Amino acid sequence: MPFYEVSMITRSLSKPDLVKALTRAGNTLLDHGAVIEKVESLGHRDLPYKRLAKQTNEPVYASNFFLFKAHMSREARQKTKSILTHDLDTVQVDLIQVDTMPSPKVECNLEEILKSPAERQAVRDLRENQKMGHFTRQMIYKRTEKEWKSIPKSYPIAPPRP
Amino acid sequence: MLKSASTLIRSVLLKPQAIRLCSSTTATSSDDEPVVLENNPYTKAPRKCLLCSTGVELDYKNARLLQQFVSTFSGRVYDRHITGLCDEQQKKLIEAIAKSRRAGFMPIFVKDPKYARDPKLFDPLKPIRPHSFA
Repeated sequence: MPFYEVSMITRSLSKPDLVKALTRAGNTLLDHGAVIEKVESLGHRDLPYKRLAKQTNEPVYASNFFLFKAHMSREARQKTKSILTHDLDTVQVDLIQVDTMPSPKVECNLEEILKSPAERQAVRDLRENQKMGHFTRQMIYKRTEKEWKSIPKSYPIAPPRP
Repeated sequence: MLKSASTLIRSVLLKPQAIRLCSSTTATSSDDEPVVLENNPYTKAPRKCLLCSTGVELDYKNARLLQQFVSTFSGRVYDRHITGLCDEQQKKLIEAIAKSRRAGFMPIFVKDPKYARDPKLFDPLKPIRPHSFA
């Protein structure tokens, strides 16, 4: 059973209505076989943008944020999500899976990023596995050939005999 | 005076045994030899990105922190050459912002004007690299 965080944003409700809406949401979760670990209130906050309540089309600028921490199956997640999003008292519902397994520690690679491209391992890998066209290969060959030929192999004037 | 000094130096150079300090011994002792270190003690510790060095965890519910990495002008997430984060943290940042927007904690197209005056973590006009792919 994966662990989910159910974040629920209600429309502006009176306290008894809010309690009703919350119990309804909790019961829907429990009916689908969820195990609720914790219910948290994240407070009465301003919404990031204006929302409209369903059916009444009342604008919602600030409302209550709630968080259910629950374990449930994937099928239960799908079903409860559609039920909760279609609830008339909710403005936004999302069920987000949280990894309970400790993630492996990854080293910070900022030092590698700050290196110049010539010294970076990623660039070196790119360069080695790079696919090169025939023309580019010819150009590189000719350029190196030219450089090699420009190096004097013998003296233009022979040095004096010893 | 000068001549005597030069002769002394020459004698030392030609015959090292000519001068001997009172503390030194004739046999070469092992603790007197130059020490070869395995690694340079003056190497600097590798620089770490802001989130790795401070140990701050990115959470999708902490929309205020996430919006510090979002442009005030375009509402888009800054790229890694501007934020100065390592690859792992930048990946986590983008995932957290996507989750936060989906859960309705964060505006999608803009940065919340409430947080426009939050402290700046980086200067977008002075990126660490000219481009994220450069």
